[in-house]
Amino acid sequence: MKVWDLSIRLFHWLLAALIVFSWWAHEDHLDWHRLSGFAIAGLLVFRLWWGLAGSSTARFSSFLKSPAGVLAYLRGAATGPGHNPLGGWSVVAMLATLTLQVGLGLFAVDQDGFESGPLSRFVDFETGRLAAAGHELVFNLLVGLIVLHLLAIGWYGVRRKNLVGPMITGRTAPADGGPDLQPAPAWKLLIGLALGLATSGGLYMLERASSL
Amino acid sequence: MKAFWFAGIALALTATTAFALDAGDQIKTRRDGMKAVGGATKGLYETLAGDKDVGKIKAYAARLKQLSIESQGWFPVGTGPSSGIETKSKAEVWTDPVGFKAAQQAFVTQAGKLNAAAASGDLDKTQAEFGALRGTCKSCHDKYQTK
Repeated sequence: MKVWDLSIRLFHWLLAALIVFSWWAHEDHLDWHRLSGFAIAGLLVFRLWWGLAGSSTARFSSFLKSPAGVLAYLRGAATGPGHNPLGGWSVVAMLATLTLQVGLGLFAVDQDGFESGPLSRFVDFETGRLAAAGHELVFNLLVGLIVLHLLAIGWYGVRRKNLVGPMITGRTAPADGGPDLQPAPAWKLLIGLALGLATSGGLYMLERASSL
Repeated sequence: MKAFWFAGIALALTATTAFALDAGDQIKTRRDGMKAVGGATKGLYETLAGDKDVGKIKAYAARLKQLSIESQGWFPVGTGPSSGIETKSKAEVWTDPVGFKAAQQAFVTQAGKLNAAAASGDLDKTQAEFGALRGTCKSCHDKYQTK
């Protein structure tokens, strides 16, 4: 049965690739680092929209459960296809951390004052340096969450539940039960794509307008 | 006579205290100074990329030249990592004095060229010298500063 739509899968793999790329580019390729950050910002905006208006398993309302729900899951309660109650909160933690990370990067300034995010001109040098320090700190938090994410995948893998396959094919074993994936209408997808592209494009234009 | 002794003791005490506080104060002077350099650089960058206000460009360039001259006094002996006070300056600043002096001189020279270009009102030349200054900052920091 279908569990992840194409949008979510593309979002996931693009995000994973861009995070690795951003990390690689952060020291000696800041031009690329900035572009990668703008792309991630667009992905995040798209994901936020898709969490409100997307297909069933992408929606926050479908996978965010109360603490009691999380506890019940930990005690072995069955769940339908999509994020389980614990994984759902891990998704939120990762999205929130990434949003904070991108936000800090937009205001960050390097120590020599030559390299900076496209919004840094609205803050003074010291504030920009604080943003840069925060950008470095939050990166560690992000790595911690990614490590947890990978450990969880390994943990389920050992228990013969493959989480990577469905994120590639979009399909999971019907044994999981629960309702089928309900796709969102195309016009909602178009709105999401427009929002994401506008975000990335807007940041890129801001960057062009504020760099030598 | 009494007054003379009092003055002497006061002077000695002041000197001792000043010496004890020295490394920390000097490192702070260095750090504040470098922040001022970064602030002026950021300001100049934004002005060159933005409204290109000649008055502001001249002021930032003059400030950078002034700071580059002052920076020669920001690295007194005893203010390195061995002072026990947190600093990003590597020991090489003091173990390779010839190389470091040359790097400092490069900063003074390049900031001087930048200021001359800005003072002449030639924006293209100013931007070129500013670009060169970026390399001057980087080469010294790569060599003499911890990440």
